[in-house]
This record gives sequence, C-alpha cells and structure tokens, in this order.
Amino acid sequence: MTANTCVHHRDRPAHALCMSCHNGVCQECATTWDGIHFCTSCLLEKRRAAGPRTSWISAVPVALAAAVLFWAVSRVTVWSALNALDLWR
Amino acid sequence: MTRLSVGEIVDDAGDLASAVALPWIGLLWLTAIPLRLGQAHFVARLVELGPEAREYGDDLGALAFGIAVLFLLSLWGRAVFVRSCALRLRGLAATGRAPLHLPPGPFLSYVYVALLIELVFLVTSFTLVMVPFCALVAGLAAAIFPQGEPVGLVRPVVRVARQGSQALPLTGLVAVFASALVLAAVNLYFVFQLGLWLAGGVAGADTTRWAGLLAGSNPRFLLVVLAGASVVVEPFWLAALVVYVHKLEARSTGEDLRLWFGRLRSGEA
Repeated sequence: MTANTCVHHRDRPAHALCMSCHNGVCQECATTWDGIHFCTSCLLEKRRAAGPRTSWISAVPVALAAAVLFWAVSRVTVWSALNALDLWR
Repeated sequence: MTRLSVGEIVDDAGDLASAVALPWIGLLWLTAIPLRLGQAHFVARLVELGPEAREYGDDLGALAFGIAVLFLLSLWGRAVFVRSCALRLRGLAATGRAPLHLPPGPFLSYVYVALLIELVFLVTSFTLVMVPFCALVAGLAAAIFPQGEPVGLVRPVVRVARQGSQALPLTGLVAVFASALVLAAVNLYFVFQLGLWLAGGVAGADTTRWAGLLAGSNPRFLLVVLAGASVVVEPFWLAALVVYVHKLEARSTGEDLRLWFGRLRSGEA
C-alpha cells in the first residue's frame, strides 16, 4: 500500500491523506473534520472518543443568540441608517 | 510556506464558478436579488425622506425587518452555492440535490456568525473603512461553512478569524473584487443607457419617462445599478474565498505537499 492509492479502494488514486493513520484516501472516503482530512475508520474512532452526541444541546444557545442577533439587526438597521444620514448631511 | 497568489485564486475561482454555474449561481441570484433590491429601496426611501426620515421610524423599521428576513434567505442561497463549490473542489459531483442538503449544525453556526458580522457592519458602516473588512469576513464565514464547523458561540468566530491569517492575498482579493464591482456597475449603467438609446430608435416608442427614471441624477436608479453589480460579482467573490480557504487548509495540513511528493515519486509530476 502506498499513499498514492486509496486504502479502501486500491484502484483509485489518493485524493488526500488521513492525518491520523497517514493512509491515502480517495475523494469518496475522505472526510474533512475541523479542517483536516480523515479516513472513515479514524473518524469513527474520533467520534466514539468524543462520547455521545450533544449537538442539539449545544445548538440551543447558538439558535437563541442567532434569534437575538436577528432582532438586533432589524432594529439597528434603522438606527444606523438615520445616524449615517445625519452624519453625511 | 509560500504565499498564496491572488491571480491563481482568481483564475481558479472563475473556473469554479463556471463549473457550478448551472443551476447554483441561478439559486444564489434568486436569493440575493430580493435582498439587494430591498436594500436599494430602503436607502432610496431614506434619501427621499431626508430630514423627515426620523418621523417615519415605524415604516422604516418594518422595511428593515423585511430586509432582515431577506438576508436570512440570501444566507441559505450563499450556503448552497458555497457547498456546491466545495463539493466540486473535492472532486465530488455538485449536480443533483447534494448541495441542498445543508448540515443543520454548521448552517446554524453560519447564520449566527453572519448575523454577528451584519450587526458589526451596521454599527460601523458609517465610517466606510469597515465596509470592505466586513464584506471580507462575511465572505470568509460563508466559505468555511461547508467544512462542518461544530456548533458553538465562540468556535465559529475563532475559525473565521483563523482563516484571515494571510493578510496580503486577502487584501489583494478585496482590491480585485472592489475594482470588479465598480466595473460591473459602470457596465450595467451603460447597458441601461444603450437599451434606452435603442428603444428611442423604435418608431412610436416614448422613452421620455424612461429617460428620467434611468438618468444618472436618479439616486434610486444608481442604487439599483449598484445592487445589480453586487449580484453579478457575488458568485465569483464567494468562489474565490472558497478556493482561498481550500488552498490554505491544504497547505496548513501539509496535504498538498504530501500528495505532490507522492506523485513526484511515482513519476506523475
């Protein structure tokens, strides 16, 4: 096995290198996680090590923050536009 | 590490945008045009009202709320377009419905960061200096979205900041696309004037009213031209930032060098 072929599909050229096991992976097998390519098995191991998925819990504060920001954006648009108008006049 | 070349990024962005043009640029435009026209209408209304604008706070507020809703729609269009570009860069097909399947967590993070940048833009826009900076950061936030950033309040912001590490190519990209925006606006202005001139040659066509509407002295027309120019440039701007992020990440992980070295050893390069 060389880094030039996919570790799972030997007939395919490597598209990327798994940064955990350093094996070559094809386009189908390469997955980017946090900006780095990993092969499926290494990614599964990382996911198991990370414990149970809590993404929906961590999404709640982000959703709330986004809702507050949405309200703020719609309010600040007028305030900002009126201030800019006063400033340039 | 060698510096990323602006010319190389712009070339690749042109190819990438052409490759995913059908139908994803169409979707991007469908979601961006209502926002840009809404913003143009808002500014034109503000200019028309002039000193009396403060008395129409509620009307302007309702208009601003509508623009904020259109902004959310445009974020979805941007995310789909950027995902189609990212899939294409990874050598995967951007056709079918694959780009439409946005991962909910990273998309929520993107919406949150984009709203935060929009708020900063609104608060600082009167200085004009922050406008290109905010446009750049908003584009970078869109470009890193398909990387699947975990949901959180701080991590997405840190991730966007980390992508801004190469100041020179990013400044170059801002300069190139600012020039492109001006050129697109000038071209669009003359396209309207050409259309008006040609229509004037048609027997029986009264273009007097149109001449007034499409005059350079009409602020509403100039705002529509500016909105049109930004819509024309947007796909290439986003594609350039996707290419930038892709190249930067390939370099930071050493992946491009490893693959190049592998090809060199096997005699392909």
